[in-house]
Amino acid sequence: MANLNNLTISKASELLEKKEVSSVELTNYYLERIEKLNPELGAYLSTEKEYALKKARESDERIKSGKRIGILDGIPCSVKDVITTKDIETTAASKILEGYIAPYSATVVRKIEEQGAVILGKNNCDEFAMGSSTENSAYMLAKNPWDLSRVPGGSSGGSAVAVAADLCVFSFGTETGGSIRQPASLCSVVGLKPTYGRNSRYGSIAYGSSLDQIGVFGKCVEDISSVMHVIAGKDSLDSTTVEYPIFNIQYPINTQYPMKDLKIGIPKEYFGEGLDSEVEKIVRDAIDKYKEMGAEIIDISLPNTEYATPCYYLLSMAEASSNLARYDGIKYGKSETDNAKDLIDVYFKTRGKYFGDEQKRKSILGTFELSAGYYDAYYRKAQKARSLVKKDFDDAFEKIDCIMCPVSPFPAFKIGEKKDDPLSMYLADIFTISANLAGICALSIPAGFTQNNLPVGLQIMGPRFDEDKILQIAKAYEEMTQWHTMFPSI
Amino acid sequence: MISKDDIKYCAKLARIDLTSEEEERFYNQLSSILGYCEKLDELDLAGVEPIYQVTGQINVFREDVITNTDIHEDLLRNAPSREDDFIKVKKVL
Repeated sequence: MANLNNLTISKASELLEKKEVSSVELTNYYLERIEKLNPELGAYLSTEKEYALKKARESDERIKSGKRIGILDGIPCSVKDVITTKDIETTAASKILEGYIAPYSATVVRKIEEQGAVILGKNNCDEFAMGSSTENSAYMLAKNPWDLSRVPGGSSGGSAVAVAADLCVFSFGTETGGSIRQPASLCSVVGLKPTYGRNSRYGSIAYGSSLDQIGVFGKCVEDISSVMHVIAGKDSLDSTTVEYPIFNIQYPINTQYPMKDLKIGIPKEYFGEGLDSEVEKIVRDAIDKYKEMGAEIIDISLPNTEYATPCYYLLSMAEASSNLARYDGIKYGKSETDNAKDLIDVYFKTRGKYFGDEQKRKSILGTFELSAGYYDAYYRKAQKARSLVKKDFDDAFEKIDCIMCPVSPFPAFKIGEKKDDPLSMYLADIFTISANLAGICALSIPAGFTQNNLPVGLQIMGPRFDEDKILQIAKAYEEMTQWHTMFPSI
Repeated sequence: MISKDDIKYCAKLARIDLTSEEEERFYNQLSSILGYCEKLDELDLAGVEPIYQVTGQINVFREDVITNTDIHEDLLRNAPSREDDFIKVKKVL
């Protein structure tokens, strides 16, 4: 049988087309790996063996009769457990949704299934996508496949591990403040946060609705592009999606942007105190590669950077407190009716028992910020600060094509190191949250390893709806380097 | 800044039962988080408009027609307690 190790979408698709492997064989390959490695790695909260094999068989029928739908038909993938999948349990990695069977699939899930993709299972993550290490999962830890004593990052840690450890070909994650890019950087895979409004959030369990976005993890840049081509587009079920040509996202990636005409902005605020020196060296070396290709490197300033993190936390906590209000033990999820004395007590006891610490903290502080007397001092102030952060990017992009910088101030940290200090965990996000505030597109691409063999990613940020450009820019680096061909030995 | 009473009060508004251990622990953690967020006071925000969402879209409408098929069984099956086609809850009044 053909070598099935670390297949990309393009390679797997080629094998399926040539009938050198069937979708059932491919699916079984991943299911066996998951059974063997997932207890240690914690990438999946659940696997759907029967469901996946049924879809794989359907795909094989189509391939046999010459009716393969497209490049994703028969390709095994996984979905972060904050994204709903019809008739399959969705828990958001929380106990409060244990046993919850979604009555509908997220639009992005529906779209890839219409293209024949085979969903293997649901990925582990921080509870309700709140966290930067996947340590907040109420079910199990996820571990970094490059060093099992370290975190894979979060909140989409499971999705990143699944791709990095070859437990699927590609996966879906979500971002509110960097939850795709940061684990992608820590696990050496490619991760894209699309522009806010580029693809539908319908079916994504909401954390911060003005910040959330569903995105993709893959082993190479081309794979991200293949999936985006399918999921992008206006959706009547998500009124924040924007009518924008999906053909703007090409696959195979074209070379419309020659690197020698590229203007790359390096923001000085992202290279100061607190940045690990090895991370800085790796990122600067990556930027030098673009210089070699002929790009112009321009020093820029994003002057409101230091205010972006407090701004982000005030807005995301306030929005989270609203979005978490629906978990009340009435319509779905767990319910503490037996111990409750009356209806209101059902809410108190259900949420008190089944929410994790982070949900409680965010609900309390978010409520505080939005309450009478504090609304202007905190929430409204943060909304104004957000304007300034967004303007920094609007101004910068008038003179440059993209921004390059680190993703995370440090490589993967040890499990347990930051768990008891929420503020320290929040500061892991300083380089990623601005893109969510401004609603622009941004990705992380493997750029090298530290002395301890820990991955470091390069972040590329682009203007709203310019995914095509940043994917091409990322691909140019990929073609000059070998990082994307390296995989952890597990 | 936030006080212990504020935390108790907001937990009540957010309908979350806290143990006294949680009250104590969250007081320390939330104080430091809010303290950090007060950095925004350094900004001069005079004349700056607040931003609610980044897409700039306004009033996205659709036709008011029913498009769902009959999904009430799918919806009710998740209810912690049900009777026929109703979700059962504790006495409201």
